[in-house]
Amino acid sequence: MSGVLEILNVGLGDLKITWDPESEEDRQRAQKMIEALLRQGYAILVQDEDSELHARATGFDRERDAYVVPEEDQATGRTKRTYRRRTTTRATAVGRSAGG
Amino acid sequence: MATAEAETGITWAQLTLALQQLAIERGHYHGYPTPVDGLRMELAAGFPYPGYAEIGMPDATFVCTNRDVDETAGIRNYWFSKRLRRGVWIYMEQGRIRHLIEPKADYAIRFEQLFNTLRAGLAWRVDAEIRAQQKLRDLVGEDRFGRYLCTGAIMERSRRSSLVYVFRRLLPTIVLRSTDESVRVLACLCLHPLGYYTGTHAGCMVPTDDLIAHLLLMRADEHMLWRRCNQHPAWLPQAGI
Repeated sequence: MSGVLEILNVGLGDLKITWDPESEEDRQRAQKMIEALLRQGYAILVQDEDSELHARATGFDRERDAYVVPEEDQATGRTKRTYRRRTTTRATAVGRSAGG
Repeated sequence: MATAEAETGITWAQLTLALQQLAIERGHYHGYPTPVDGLRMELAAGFPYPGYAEIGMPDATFVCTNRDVDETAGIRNYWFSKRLRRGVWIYMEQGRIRHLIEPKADYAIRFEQLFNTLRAGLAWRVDAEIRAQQKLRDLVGEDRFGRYLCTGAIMERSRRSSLVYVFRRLLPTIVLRSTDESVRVLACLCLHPLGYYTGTHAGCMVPTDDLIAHLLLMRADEHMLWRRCNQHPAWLPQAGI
């Protein structure tokens, strides 16, 4: 699965953001955008490869170029950090919401 | 509405698209909702322009004399009565506590919500709804998407909590606890990314995007879904049952 970020947008359905994996400029622009979305309170929901399973990213690791996804360790019950690489992950960003 | 388009030469679809282009230029990727005459918007906390929700609303200014001002007047409480199937107001007037039972029954409230939701439909672009449906098909597969097209609903059991969610187009999500002995409605969850039009079931986003938000939040972070939603009991008109 190649990486894509889909942002739910009011008038456009969704904005599909893809990146050239070879481009350094694209990488920096993507990282800035993802960090801005997280700061603005968006929920970024990342999909496990070839699966219906999703998890919410709680941060972004620039060095690893990956979403930070907390996971519960089944054996110990503790929460540990796992990473989903930006360039191979399908993610959907949902803005802050109002209850109806 | 048709008159407004004829006067300005701008269609609602063009207005919506222009707003999104402006929003993206400013780094507001969720976009800006389209105001609809007479329908108030309730926008999410943190929306960049606080006065935006007032666009399209009539001026609320009124004039009163100092002869008719009652200093004690005020609303003390309001609830929707399950027994009476009507809203109940408790208020103060002339220093006394009074009550008012709304003449409008619950089916009238439901009809109003339906009618106002039709009005809010002006705000949505058809191509945005089609794109959202394509995304939904990728998320749930061909079979379930086909049933969604025909019925407007998708059911899914949470892998974490085992609760059953009935995601409905333009209506709150029904949450069921299903066991071998019984099926019980726990709550009806209402949530709209960015905002919604009050007195309707319409969100600022196209209907299928609202549903996608519910579905993905349930899959990824069920606690967050419940935290962010308004939780309505099944018998309230707002539950949409």
